[in-house]
Amino acid sequence: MFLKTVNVKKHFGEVKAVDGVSLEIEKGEFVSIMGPSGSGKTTLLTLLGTLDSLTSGDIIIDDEDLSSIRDVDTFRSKKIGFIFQFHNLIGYLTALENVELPLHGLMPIDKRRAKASELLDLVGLKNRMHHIPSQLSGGERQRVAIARSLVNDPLLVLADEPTGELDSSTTQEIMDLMKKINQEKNTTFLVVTHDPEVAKRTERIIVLRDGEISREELVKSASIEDIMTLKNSTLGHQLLQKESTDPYLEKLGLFREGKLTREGELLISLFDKVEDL
Amino acid sequence: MMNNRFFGMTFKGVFRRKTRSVLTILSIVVGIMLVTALLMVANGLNTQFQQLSGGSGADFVVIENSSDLSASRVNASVGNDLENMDGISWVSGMVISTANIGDRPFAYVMGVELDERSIGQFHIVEGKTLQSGDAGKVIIGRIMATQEGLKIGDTLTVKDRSFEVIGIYETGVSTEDGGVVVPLSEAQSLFDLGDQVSMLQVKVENLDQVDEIQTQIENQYPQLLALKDSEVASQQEDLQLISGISSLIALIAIFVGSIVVMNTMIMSVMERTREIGVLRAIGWKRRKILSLILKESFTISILGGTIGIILGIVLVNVLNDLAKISLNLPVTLDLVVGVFLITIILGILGGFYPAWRASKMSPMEALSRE
Ligand SMILES: Nc1ncnc2c1ncn2[C@@H]1O[C@H](COP(=O)(O)OP(=O)(O)OP(=O)(O)O)[C@@H](O)[C@H]1O
Ligand SMILES: [Mg+2]
Repeated sequence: MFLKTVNVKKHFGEVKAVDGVSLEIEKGEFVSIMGPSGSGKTTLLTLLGTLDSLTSGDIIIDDEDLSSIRDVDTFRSKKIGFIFQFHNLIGYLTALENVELPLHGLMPIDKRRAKASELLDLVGLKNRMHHIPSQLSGGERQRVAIARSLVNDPLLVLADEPTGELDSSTTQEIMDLMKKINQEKNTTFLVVTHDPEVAKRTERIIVLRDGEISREELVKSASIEDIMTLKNSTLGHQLLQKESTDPYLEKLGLFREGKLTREGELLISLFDKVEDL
Repeated sequence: MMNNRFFGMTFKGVFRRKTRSVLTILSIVVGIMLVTALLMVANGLNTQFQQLSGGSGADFVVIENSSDLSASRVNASVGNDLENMDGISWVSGMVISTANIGDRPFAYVMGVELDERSIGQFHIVEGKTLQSGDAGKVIIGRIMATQEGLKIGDTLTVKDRSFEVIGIYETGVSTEDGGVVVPLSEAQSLFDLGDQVSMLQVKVENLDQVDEIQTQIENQYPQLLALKDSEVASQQEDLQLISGISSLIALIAIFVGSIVVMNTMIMSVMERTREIGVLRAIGWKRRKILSLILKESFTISILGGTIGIILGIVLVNVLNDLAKISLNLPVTLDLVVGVFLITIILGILGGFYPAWRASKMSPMEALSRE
């Protein structure tokens, strides 16, 4: 297992920000983390990213137990890439210089430059290399941030609401980009998001609630919109009439001979449950 | 080679707030400029006094134990007594005073004995030197000649008395070259000294005995001081005052400069909490953050220092020219290194605390604030 957490807890005094999270993530997986505000998503990322220490539990990444690593800075600089909600680029440095930052002290300047421009090329900003962040659009800045998070060839990229500030079409572009990198480089992605459109495009959705992993929340967050869409569609209305001779609905097995089937009833009860959530 | 990209980053970091950094640098420029100027003047005056016994080959000078050289009076009889003292080779009296000559309010006027040894200190570059019986004649320094436009045969007025210029000399000591030399007796009457002189130049027979003889003279004449060249300066109160003031100003410059740098760097570090958090999050070690901030404060202080040194040198030379003091003010390596050291101390003092604070910042800041 590439990443494994065992009963990880992080308490800030009374606040149990993360309270017993056990996870297993394979190398190359693209996972999203959802959950309401304050549920511990960011905190969990900081723990996985060695930015903060655990209250208890274990985290193992790439066969290394984080608690036994002495030099977490070096571990981080070699294996982890971060993307933050706000691009967090340094305003007085160019895109190229920003992307280069994680490599300072790791390799000579010409190699750093080459590597950084290669990544800017990858994220489609070859001709924006010498622009400073204020000269770039929100989407472009986030691309630079992605390039920066990848420049050290990390095994794991931790992204905290990377599309939180972007419109939906730019969000899709950024998702395309991250998925492309995930496939080409087999980099493991862990993306915190509030956006179901983002979550939908990941291989697995983990939902946190009050610092714990929640199954119920998973259904709610990941599928609620789809179910509601279905409910509000013509199909949903016909279903709720409980009588229909629509051959299409018959074909789906929701009605037989004009009567609601068991599957149909289940779907209606699902509508009700979703409504209650 | 230092990696210059990193220095590029330092520069950009310094100038991300242009006005503030420029003002900070400016305040260091002013401080360092003053320090440089004062140290140069103090140095210049010091060397001046260290060349008192000049090219005559004297081993030490005897002056009155008074506050400064211009007020020193030594009776001629002392000179005669010393000449007969065991171990002393020769003694030569000299008057040193200042008078208004042409545009120059404080030109040196020196009265010198007319034997080869004494007057020979003033190497003639044009015309001829003074000889016994040359009443009403004067030889003038090269700088005086140039600045006052005087030539051989011209007449020059010192304290309402006219002198004919018969020669131009050069010693390399700028105050001397900016002054004039008259026969000792003329000087004594010009300044109403009777048979007193300002100082006696003394040559001993055996160098091993110098200290001994100096002590002996001071014991015998408690009102006198026997000083080697290097000791003269330390006896001059004015000079000590100037040295004292310049050291004090140097200290104040370090103090104020460090505070200014510190203030700027603390502001900068606080504003960049998030940036520093990001750098930590992408794997920069505390040490590297420390050096990032230190480099910035160094850049500020060294920029300010360099400009300050240059402006200080310019300032002193302009003032020197304007006031026609013609002090010899060499820019010595010691001076430049010294002032640079001050600048570096200032950079360290001002940068260390902010850098330390920055290095303590948590990478968590990167994720938390907006
Ligand atoms: N440094 C801290 N000190 C005290 N409490 C903290 C700290 N960091 C987080 N918390 C608390 O821990 C809980 C989880 O916070 P966290 O930032 O992980 O939530 P989140 O899921 O990322 O929320 P959001 O979606 O709003 O970003 C919150 O109640 C928060 O107030
Ligand atoms: Mg968060």
